[in-house]
Amino acid sequence: MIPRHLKITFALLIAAALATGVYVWTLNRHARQAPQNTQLQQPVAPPTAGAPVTVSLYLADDQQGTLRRDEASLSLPSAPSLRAQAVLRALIARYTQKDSPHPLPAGADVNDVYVVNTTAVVDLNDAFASGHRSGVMVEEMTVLSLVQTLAATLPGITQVKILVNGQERDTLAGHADLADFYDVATVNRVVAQMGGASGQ
Amino acid sequence: MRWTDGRRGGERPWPALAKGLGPALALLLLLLCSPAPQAQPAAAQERLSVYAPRGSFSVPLQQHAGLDYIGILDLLDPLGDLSVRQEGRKWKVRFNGAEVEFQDGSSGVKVANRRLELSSPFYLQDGRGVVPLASIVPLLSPLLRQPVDLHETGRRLLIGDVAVHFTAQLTHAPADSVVLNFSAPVNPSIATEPGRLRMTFAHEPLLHTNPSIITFDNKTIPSLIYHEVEGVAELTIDSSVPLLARFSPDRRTITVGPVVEIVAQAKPQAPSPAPAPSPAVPAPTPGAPTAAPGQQPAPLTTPPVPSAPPPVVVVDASHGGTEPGAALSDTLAEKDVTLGIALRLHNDLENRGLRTLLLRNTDTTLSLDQRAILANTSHARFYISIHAGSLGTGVRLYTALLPPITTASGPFLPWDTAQASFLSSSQTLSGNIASELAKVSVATRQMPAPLPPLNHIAGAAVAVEVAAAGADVSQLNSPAYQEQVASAIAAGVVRAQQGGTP
Repeated sequence: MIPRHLKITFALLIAAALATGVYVWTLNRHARQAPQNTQLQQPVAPPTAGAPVTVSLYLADDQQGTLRRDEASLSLPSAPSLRAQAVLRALIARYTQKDSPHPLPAGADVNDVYVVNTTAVVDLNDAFASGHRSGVMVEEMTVLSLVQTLAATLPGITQVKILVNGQERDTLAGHADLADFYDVATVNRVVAQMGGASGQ
Repeated sequence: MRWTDGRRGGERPWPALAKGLGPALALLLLLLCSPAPQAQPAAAQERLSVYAPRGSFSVPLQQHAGLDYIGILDLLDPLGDLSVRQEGRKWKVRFNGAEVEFQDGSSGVKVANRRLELSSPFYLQDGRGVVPLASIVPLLSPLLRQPVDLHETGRRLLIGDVAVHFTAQLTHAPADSVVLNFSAPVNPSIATEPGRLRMTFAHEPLLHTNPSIITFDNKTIPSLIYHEVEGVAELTIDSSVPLLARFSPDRRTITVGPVVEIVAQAKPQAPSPAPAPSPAVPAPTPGAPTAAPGQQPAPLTTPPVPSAPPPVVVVDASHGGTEPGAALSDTLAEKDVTLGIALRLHNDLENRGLRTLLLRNTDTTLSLDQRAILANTSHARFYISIHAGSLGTGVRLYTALLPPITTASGPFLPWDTAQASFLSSSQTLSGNIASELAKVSVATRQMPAPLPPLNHIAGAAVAVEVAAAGADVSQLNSPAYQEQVASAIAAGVVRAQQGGTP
């Protein structure tokens, strides 16, 4: 025969364990159902010192089919590759915001930017490419926006190469060419042409 | 099905409280100890393709002691009336009136009162019986009363007289081609790669007896190989030149031959377009490697010797096969829309007297380089690549995004910038198409784009991205809208071919 006090203790322990289990299960379910906080997935620029400077961002607009020049005030590091990375992250942060006129996937980021003489190599992360919308125009706008913004940040570069996770890739999402180098002067001419074109 | 549990029965000496809480405690421990539920990546599972008179299906295979096993319910359920009951370790199946009795862990089986020995034991897994794949034929034959043909290495099972047979014949007129005649209509997926064309028959029970290699005493097309792998049959044709497959209207005949010859055969009675000098051919750029006026540009790869005039237009339905392109809606893939528009454009151009090469007329995978090689070796003057998009409205026309040529590059065109010498004619073509689209009130926009394979095309090249006229993306699948766009593009090409200016 089990003593009464032991029975009560055992029952209380079971009840406490059950309540804990239900609580943990509820927390787990809420964590899985909660929408992902896109704010946390936006690229974060490295901490820098110094006075903020004004940089140009070329923002794509899907509805207008144009690239619009905008300005942002950023504290930038002195090294060209870090400067370029910080500016591109600021650009991508605009695109990953809610109600962006040219949405990019959550988690899109720039892994690195390398500058060799007059060539810049941009290494995008996998989320950028794998979650990008597919289509000639939408992919072209993204690429032109990156190249034009980079050219405005690093005036000496003449060509840009885009990698994804350090690897060469044929296209961004099935259309825009990533196999070749982008000629900055040609992109500049096209962006000027797009700005004057009538949207659809 | 009746389920029994031999473990129930004996009373356990637990106190009443503990006895009641026992299951709850076990459940709690399970909850706490188990990891958060996550989607597990599906492991690649082998399957057996089954071809039967009632239809085709596939059944998953599983491994037991290094042997392939198959679920008997998965296999028999689509083939007839089936009921199952379990009596302890015995598992009884009634199929189309005949009874089969299995025993868990035993290789002895009773089929319609006759004893049969399986090659390895029968097992019960979660109430479902699995049998060794190697014993399927003796097991099924008395039940189905039809011939059963198992191709164990190819993972294919043919039941009854369902096989589709074929013959292969090499013809030399007008050019070396292989003509494949099938005993029933077929619809294989086709993939090309340098030096070969592969047809995959996933839905048809294609069957060929020995020899699996058919050799032709021919340098252009030396051999054809039949083999079965992972539940499909494949025909691989080796060749020294780029190949194209052409289907007969009843889909019982496939002619595989060099690209140019296939195009010539497609319309043998069509009048040859006059090879007059055309304003669509750009003026020679100083220092640029261009062809003389009226001549076609030098090929970028070794072409087959043409036996008929080359096509005037190459129509390229972008994406296809394993590469679907953009998901235009939940049910609409870009590759299907591009194929629909390309087929209509091909017909429209042919009806207007322009010899046309369609790079794919079915759901086929073609790489970007293959498309450029096929277009360049065909020596066509115009290349039209069809795309579809859900963004915006109307039609967008793209030419290559290339820097201007500043240096000579010798007698050959560089692959990466082959289009540079033809940008002017490409823009003329784009302008003519835009003019014709405007006539039917379709909104257009022209611009350069970094869109492969435009840079590699040695001819006037335009990519057309078709969006819906309004907000409804499903309009892209509308035959009327596709025809309206295709007809305007065809009119624009004709206008460019006749020397029209935008």
